[in-house]
Amino acid sequence: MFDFTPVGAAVAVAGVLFITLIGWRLIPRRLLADAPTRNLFKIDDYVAEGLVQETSVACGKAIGEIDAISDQHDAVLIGLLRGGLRIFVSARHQLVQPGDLVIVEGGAQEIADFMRALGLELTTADEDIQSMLRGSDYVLSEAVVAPRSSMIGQTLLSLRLTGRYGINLLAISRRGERLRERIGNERLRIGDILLFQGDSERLSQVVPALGCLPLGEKRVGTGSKRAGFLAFAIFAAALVVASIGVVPFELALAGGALAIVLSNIVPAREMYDSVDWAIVVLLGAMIPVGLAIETTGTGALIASAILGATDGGSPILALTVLMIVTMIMTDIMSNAATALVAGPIAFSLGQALGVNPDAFLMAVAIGASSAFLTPIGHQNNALIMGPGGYRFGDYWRMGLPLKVLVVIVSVPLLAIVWPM
Amino acid sequence: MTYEQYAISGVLAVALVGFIWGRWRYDIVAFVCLIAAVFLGVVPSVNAFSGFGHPATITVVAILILSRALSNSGAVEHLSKILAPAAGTPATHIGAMSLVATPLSAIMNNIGALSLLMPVAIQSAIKAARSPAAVLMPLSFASILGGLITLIGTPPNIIVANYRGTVSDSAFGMFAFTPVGGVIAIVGVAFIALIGWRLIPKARLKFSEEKELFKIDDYVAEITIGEDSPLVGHSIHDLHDAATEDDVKIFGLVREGTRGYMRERYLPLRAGDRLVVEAPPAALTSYVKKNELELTGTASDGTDDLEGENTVLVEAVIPPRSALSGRTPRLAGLTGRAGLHLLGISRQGRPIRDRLYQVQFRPGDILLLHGDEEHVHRSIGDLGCLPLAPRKLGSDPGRKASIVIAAFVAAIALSIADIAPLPISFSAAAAVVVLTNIVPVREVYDAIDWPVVVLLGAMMPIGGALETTGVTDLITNGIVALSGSLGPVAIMTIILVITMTLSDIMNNAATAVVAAPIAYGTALQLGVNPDAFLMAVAVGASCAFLTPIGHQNNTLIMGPGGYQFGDYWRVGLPLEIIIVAVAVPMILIVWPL
Repeated sequence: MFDFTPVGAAVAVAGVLFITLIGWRLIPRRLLADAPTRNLFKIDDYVAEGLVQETSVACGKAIGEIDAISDQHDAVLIGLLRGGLRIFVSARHQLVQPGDLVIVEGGAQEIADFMRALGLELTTADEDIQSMLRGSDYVLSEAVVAPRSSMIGQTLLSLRLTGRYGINLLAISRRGERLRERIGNERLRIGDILLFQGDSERLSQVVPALGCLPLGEKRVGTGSKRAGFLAFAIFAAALVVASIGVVPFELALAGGALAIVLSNIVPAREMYDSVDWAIVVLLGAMIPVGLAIETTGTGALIASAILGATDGGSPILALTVLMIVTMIMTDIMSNAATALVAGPIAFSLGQALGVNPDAFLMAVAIGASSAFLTPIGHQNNALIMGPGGYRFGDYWRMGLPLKVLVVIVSVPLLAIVWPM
Repeated sequence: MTYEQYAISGVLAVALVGFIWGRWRYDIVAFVCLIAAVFLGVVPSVNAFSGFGHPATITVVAILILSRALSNSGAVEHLSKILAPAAGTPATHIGAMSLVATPLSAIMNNIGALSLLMPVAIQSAIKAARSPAAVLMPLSFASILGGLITLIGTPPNIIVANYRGTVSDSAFGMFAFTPVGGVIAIVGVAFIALIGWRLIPKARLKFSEEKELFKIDDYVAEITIGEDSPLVGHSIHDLHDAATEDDVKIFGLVREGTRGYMRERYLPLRAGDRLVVEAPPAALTSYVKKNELELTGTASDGTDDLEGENTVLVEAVIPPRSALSGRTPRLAGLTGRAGLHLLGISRQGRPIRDRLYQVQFRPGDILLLHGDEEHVHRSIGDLGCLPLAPRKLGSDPGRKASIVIAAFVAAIALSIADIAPLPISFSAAAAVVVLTNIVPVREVYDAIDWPVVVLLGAMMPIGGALETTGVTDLITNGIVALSGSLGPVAIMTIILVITMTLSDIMNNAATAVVAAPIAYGTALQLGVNPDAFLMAVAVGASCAFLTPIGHQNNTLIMGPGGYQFGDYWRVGLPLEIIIVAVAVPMILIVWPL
């Protein structure tokens, strides 16, 4: 259980120190220089009102139709104002009447086209709109698409958020850039930031249910204190039982999971939703592949290649090379798969050198967990891409020095803690 | 008896009691027992989780994904439409439905086959002015019988086949079950179509137009808002919670002659507006009095009134093990969804009207939902319910269907030709339907019935421990000693009957895991062909016709058919007797002792 702690903790401490003292300075200036109130969705710039006249094409059309037309023109229909009353896009069957103000959002050209198509008279945006957008019961909320969201790969049109949940999705931002083109047909990706509009209570329910993490300051706590304490106690007990070696690790954790279900902290009907089946299947499928690397002798082959490359040098050199190779692999594939593939190679390497393979296995464990170079290497990196406004190339600036540091710190420690 | 034997017997006893009691879902019972068995030292900890990678478990998972693919392809609805004209008499109607259901469930999971055909059966029954109750129980039984025909038809067959693989030279093949299972299925379906349906209580068979739809006319009313009403200035959205407390549901607004549903939730109400509400009479009267409203009259045209341009009324049933069961409509999010209203719940044929939002859902409940056509259908899917009206078919069912069928055929061919073992070939077929997007990646893990997977994973090592500790031998010795002078045929019949009875009250896969080693051991003790005894277990474990709880299919039809608990054995008991009468000689012919 705590076999990983001596080396792992040292690497973690060194890494965190580096990040807080030096690392953050390596993030590109453009991201750091931006004002703290950086607003991804500057609504004011792009919102306009159109007055419906007796002769307007829009007259007598349902709001749903107007919404479809706004999509065609790459504009976003936000709602209507009728005699000071707010009518939202969710009232799709409501008919547009003369005197209504149609509020639309988008680029200047798109808005002009939209207004022309519907025969609306353009008026300027004013306080009304702001109040509509930030009214007490209708709020705006930003949320980021989390890695396991059911929305990934779907389009806004296929999701039909307005109809199903009564919330509107006004805009998408990807990698710090506001998407302008036909957001209705855009397939959502991990890390996209979505601007929702809707009833605050409903947003707080629907947004997490869609697998999005709200970016607002308001956090709705779920579950009672008692349940939280109990869950923590069960988890701690399982870890203690596992670490004193009374029962095997997996059995202690399975028992802990069972206790969580039996105590109804995770109800039986929800238990299978909390399992990340994709990872289960990945592990289930890769373990035999990892085994095959060993049994077919491929592991030994790669191990001897590494030995050849290090020219029969010291085990320390081989250890360093192995860790670097693992680190490169983990940046392009999942870290679990990396560990499964690199594990047998490490073992063969240790055997070929005639030394204790534990140090090599530990090097794989550390290397496989160090995915800092790209947003795709680790889910966490993908998740922050949108909210941070990072680009693909921003990661290595801080990630590469960090990796070098990890190697420098861990190799000597490995040699001390796991003597070869 | 040794300590190990006591320990594993205790675990098994707890498992059986847990399964039959039903307080906790069977996968949790099984998993508790597995962990207990490991801590008691009777299942070695290295083997604790071996059941999860067991070939039988993997095969079940692959079949579930392929079943979803078959269902997504839309081929089944197409096929059943061709047979629709046969609905003339009950016998031909049931026969035609069974002709699709039985072969279909031979290659896919039973509940999947039933879910596909149930809406078709209900619609064709109503069209033929026949109570759906006359068709649904036969359909459910026919789909269970279909499972007997092939190895992949039901989990018990997969378990029994794999068990044979571990104790003798090879596992049962894909069609080893076909001679016995096929004959039983044919005889069983013939019995159900010709005689069986007549045994369903007459009250259920009586067709009445209103019974098939919720009677909602009485409950829908229009109320006009007076000048002094406290409701003026509030929106329907604001009023929703308070009205729900009063048992009144507001689902429409009529202003200046135009009617709107759902979308006007945020408009402030004015004097003179009329609300379309639905409420029991008493609640309505008090609500009208309290809020200074005027009852304009019950909506004369009832359901037509609710089925506007885009709005529809749809009935949907809650399947067994739905995430909805045990939740109230509020918890299930049914109150918060725009464009969707829950108008009623029907349980065992009786409508629930009062305090609707406090009712806890149960499997088999029928929900009456109202709202925009497309949203209602999507929401039903989101909630994991099954609509009782046939779906609209997606585009191009032909291409998808041919890929799925090709994958099936290829998998069967690979396993018969001994190129790849069954779990491998069916896993490959499952991968094909995912890669071809017939089962989209986001749907893959929803298609899998995880409780059954965990049940199998947990029960396999327990079944293994029963053998290694010698408890199976003890039980078989007991059986042989008790049966005394009875011949092997009589003992096989007893095993068949006991297995059948067990599977009526507990999960059929669990039944098979426990019964297969006992049957095998008994046959060895008697010095007869163990294959015959294993077949008896396979047949017995798959036959659960006596109660609505013995098989998921029987639970699913309970609500739509309006059946009572006691209706099942009337058809089921004669059917089980016939199955025993057919199975014993057939097993003896095909697998001589």
